[in-house]
Amino acid sequence: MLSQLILFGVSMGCLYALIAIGFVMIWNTAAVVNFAQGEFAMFGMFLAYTAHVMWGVPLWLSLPLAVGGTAGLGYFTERGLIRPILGSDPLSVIMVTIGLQILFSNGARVIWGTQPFHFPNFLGSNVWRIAGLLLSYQSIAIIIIMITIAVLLHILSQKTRFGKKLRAVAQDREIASLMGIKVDQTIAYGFALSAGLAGVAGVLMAPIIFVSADIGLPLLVKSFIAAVIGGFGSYPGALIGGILIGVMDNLIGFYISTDYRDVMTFLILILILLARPEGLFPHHR
Amino acid sequence: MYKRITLLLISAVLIALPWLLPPYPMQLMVFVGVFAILTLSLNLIVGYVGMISLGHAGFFLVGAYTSALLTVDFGVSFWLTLPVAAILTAIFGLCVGFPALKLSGHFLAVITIAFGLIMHVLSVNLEWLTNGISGISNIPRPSFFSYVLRTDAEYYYLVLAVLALVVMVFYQLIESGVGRALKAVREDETGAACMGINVNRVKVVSFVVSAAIAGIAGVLYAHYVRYLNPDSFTIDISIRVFIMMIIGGIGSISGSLIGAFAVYTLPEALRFLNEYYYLVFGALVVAMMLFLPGGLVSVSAAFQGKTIVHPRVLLWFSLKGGRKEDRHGRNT
Amino acid sequence: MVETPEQALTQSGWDAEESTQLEIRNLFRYFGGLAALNNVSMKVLRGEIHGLIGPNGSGKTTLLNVLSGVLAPNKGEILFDDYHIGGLPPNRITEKGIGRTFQNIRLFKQLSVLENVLVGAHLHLGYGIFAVLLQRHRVAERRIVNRARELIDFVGLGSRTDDIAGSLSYGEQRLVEIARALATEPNLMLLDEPLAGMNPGEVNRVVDLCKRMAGEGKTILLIDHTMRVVMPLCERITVLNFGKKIAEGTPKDVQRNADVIAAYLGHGPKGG
Repeated sequence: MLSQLILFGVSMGCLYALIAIGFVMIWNTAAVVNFAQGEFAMFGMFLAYTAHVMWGVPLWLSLPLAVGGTAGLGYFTERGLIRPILGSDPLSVIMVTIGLQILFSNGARVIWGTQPFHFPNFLGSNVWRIAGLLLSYQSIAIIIIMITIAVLLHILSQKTRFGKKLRAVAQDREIASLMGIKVDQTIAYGFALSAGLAGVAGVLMAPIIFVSADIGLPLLVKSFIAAVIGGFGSYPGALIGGILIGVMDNLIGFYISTDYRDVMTFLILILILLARPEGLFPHHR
Repeated sequence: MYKRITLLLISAVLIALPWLLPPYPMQLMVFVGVFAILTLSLNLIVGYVGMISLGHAGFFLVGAYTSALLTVDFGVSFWLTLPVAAILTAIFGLCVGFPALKLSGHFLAVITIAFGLIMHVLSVNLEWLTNGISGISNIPRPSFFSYVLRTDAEYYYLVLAVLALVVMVFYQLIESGVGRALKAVREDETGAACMGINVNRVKVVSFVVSAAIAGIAGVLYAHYVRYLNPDSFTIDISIRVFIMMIIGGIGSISGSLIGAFAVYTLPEALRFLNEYYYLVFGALVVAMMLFLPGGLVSVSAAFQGKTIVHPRVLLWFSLKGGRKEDRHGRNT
Repeated sequence: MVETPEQALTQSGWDAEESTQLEIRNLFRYFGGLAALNNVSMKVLRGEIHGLIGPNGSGKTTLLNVLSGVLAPNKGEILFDDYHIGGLPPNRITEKGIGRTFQNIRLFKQLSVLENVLVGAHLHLGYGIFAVLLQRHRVAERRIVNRARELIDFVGLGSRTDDIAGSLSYGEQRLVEIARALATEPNLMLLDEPLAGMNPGEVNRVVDLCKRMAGEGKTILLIDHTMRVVMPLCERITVLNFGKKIAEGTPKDVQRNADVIAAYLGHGPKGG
């Protein structure tokens, strides 16, 4: 049973990790704390729902469309709404993203209504039995996709030009621009990528939890904490942080109580932070 | 000179308000007053010391529930529960303030968010204490000797008095060496420390005072609505207060008042939008930050050429220009 | 050059230990694996103007940061008036009587000049929160405001007292920093490149200020690169290179020191 919970926790944790990685990416490149990050995940979920359940578009098309659409939303959000205030004081920027969070979540409410929706399982409700463990296809898919994305991201960041631009901008915006990198554009694409990652998480999450406009904020809080625990600014940290939260969520929820699940998770995380304020993988900017 | 006259005029208007307003807006003004106090408490931490708190609803909750429980379950007088609640909330502020020392920025944001959420969950689940989601009802109105403050107007004066007291205390502190120390910490912690300021002590004390004031706001809230349940103390409230502070203008006393007024009365003005209201609200927040990052008070800062604004004179200008929706913000 | 009574005594053979105000013993400070301060030992005598020079990256500012408490030493001792101050937080060190200015000006840019200097006087406020609530702080406030105005006049910025610090010119901001540091009523002033970026008129003003401060009995430890000023102004000079002390003595001795010459000319300034 324990390993069952842990496994499911890991797969949920991967989803938090995806959102957290996107969150960290935006922080690294644009120095923005994106309060609307959870809403990107929500948006991806809704897009997939609309395409597949409402319009009957086949799954293999709906999912990429949803992710692409979310990435597009991220891109245009940055260009239109974030870019103007990028230079000014951090609090103003945080406020814009808070405003965006309100805007997006309520926009979704207006468009799709307040009723939560059900999203059918991708691969059916089958489970696999290995060594006495029941693994749903969904969980396996999530973990596989997460590993794939992690590898792809690594390749992207180390081997591609775009990846290098992202890292340069993250290190030092001024010098990057002096070296001829179009910082604005890089940041916009970084936003798109981050939103896309959140979109993937949202899409993968759709069959597991109810599709509703309210999930943005809880997701944001969890991935924010994941990023912070991991050492704000570190990608592997965000990954580990997300998985940690997913696992703790499940274990605490089962062994202790579901009511206090969030509280206990937070308390443990606070303790971790107090013991190690820089996070698990401190990132020096 | 200008200041005195402005002050007198505004005070006169505020005192005369119950005669000028119909009942429903009057009720709103009571809430505006309560939230103005809450916003001021947040402004102390964010605007004057430069820390961040996204969980102030937690302090609001502690104050409200403490007073509610003491009056309902034990029949303690409001005038005693008020200071007790303030002190208890201050203790919570101490608990949050200490971790705040080791952490800053986003780490602190996480801790404060967690605090707010933990308080909310506790209020839902500690049913033997808080009655869970059913909440606490029949919270009594305070009474002055034997005269019960039953009407909205009477409660309004109570809130107004507390608000005035808080504003005066703030103003005195800000203008003194204490306020300078706060501002110094906000501007440059290291520099402040090198000038002899005990930065840690400043931060913790600020958190404690801020929490106490938020707790007082909570008490006033509880005894006005007379029914409490956990739904009134979610992270939405923390965010809403944050928005009030930002829209009014960070680091400005009058800004907190104006922000509370603007954000609280806006729903009423936009009533006709129904379910689109929140959408528009979010859009307004975004637009606000893009075009008027200094908040509403900065409209008048343009007249003065300053960024840090002097409270009373601004209230005058802001009343004229800032609150109405038809006046577009200027780029400062 | 001002000849202090202590110096006269030293030159006639009296024990210099008695007049040592600041003593640094075997100080180490590491950043990662790099020793920014490598076994530095030196003395600053009471009332003297002491220069601290060295090529870029030699550890001068690090030394000042450790002295003022902004950084903690990894190894070694610092004695100020026979009190161990190594590792104390900045506000405690300022309490002990050490004030400083910063290489990259760290004024409170959004506050006025007067407010900046008043912050410097924080330790001497003489009142706390409760006094303010009871409105009993007026007298004390007036006292320190007068003192602050005095200091602002001392540095020659009386006309800019109420202006926002961020609106002053670079040179003027440096002067405000000096006034602010003086407001802490220090016995030892640490000045980190006070002449950088100043025009000749401003340079003269700072030099004059240094002499006047020393005349009032304050000890000054001064970092700067402007040799034509440092040499005549300082009574003794310590030279750092790559985190190590390579010379300590009178300007004449230092100028003739082979290691010093090599450090500046031979290998050139290294690092940042």
